[in-house]
Amino acid sequence: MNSAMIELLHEDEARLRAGALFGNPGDSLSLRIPGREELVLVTPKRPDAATFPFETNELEAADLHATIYRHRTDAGGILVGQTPWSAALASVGAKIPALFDEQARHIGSAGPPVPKGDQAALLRALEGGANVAIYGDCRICIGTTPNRVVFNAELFEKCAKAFVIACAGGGRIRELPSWVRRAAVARLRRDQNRAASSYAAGRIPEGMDGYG
Amino acid sequence: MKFQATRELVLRTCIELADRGYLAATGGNVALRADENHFAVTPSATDYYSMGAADVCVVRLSDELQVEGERSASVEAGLHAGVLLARPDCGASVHTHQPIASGYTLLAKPLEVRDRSRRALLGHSVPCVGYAPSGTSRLARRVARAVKPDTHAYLMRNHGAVCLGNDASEAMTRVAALESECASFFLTRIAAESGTVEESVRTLVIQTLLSTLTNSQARFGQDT
Repeated sequence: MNSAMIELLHEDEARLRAGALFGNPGDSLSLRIPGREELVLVTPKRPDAATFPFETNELEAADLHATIYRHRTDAGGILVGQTPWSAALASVGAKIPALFDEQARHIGSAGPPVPKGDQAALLRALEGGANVAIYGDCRICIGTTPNRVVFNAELFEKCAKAFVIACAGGGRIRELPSWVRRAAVARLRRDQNRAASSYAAGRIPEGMDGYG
Repeated sequence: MKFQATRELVLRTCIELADRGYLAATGGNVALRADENHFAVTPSATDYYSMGAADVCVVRLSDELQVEGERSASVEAGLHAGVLLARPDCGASVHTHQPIASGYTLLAKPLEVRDRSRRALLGHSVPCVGYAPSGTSRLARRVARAVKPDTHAYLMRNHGAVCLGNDASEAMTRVAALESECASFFLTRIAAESGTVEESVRTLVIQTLLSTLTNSQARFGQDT
């Protein structure tokens, strides 16, 4: 199981690197090992992926990932890191509103930026099922599957860029209608409940890689 | 495989759009007219980099019945059908989630095209259709109603854009032209605004917008 998960992890890493979404010294990427209290993690400083338990880890990055997996039993993959647009979003200081259908459907309702090091505030920000949090000047991106964490990272980058550019230009920014947001969040929560059950049963959840 | 060349071209167009950052995750899709009665369209919810030509669907224009393809057609197949029916001169309908134009759709207003060469590509004004959820017949109807013979790009509020062309290449040129015109709009706005965001953010945004214009000019010779 570990070697299969490590292979998936490196596939994710390659795609994120190609899109300039991974590779800074502070970045880290992990996948949950289904059915076990363990994760596989890679960082630019430790390019050979290693397995870590969900219990306390000496490696700071592994500890942060493990903390999130313990609290978000639906999480199948986690990306932590900085891009120019996540840093810009942190500077803007406000939470990114629900702007696009696929954002509401797959990322959920992200809270305002959380100070780096305040893990309690971070967990509160992720409590409602949001798949992205701004943590210091980094973004923490969660996906229910190995593919979904990559898609969510790509999706969030586009949303952050579109939002920051629109903010810089001034003018009124329109959000999605509230009924659309509510329906999207309900579907996201259903996916997350299904993912949590699937991981508990030792399987990567299926059918979560598209928009629907 | 029926319509193999057209389906392969859909695939190549999607990969080029994804490489250039005009699609986000599995969002956005491409439709190319396959013959008088059919079009080839991206499958639903499929990663562009793992898609094959056999996954690309063929849909009948008159009733949107899928006649070929190993996966379900994009949920936006109805949108493309409406556009291709309204514009029989067009062979390509490309729906993008391009970031700068997507940012513009948040303002929910039409885009006046100020640059002369881009006006020739897009039309004098790019309409912004009102919000309707992705993949719904309501959105397809709204876009189809907005289609005009002399307008080759359409914005959808809180969503993205649709660009038309005689072929995939012309539609792609218009995708880039639309992104540039939106970049140009925001540059003008930012020059007139001050204090909306921190200086570091303002610098990042300006550099990004200028880079979009420079790349577009190098590729398509548009004015900046």
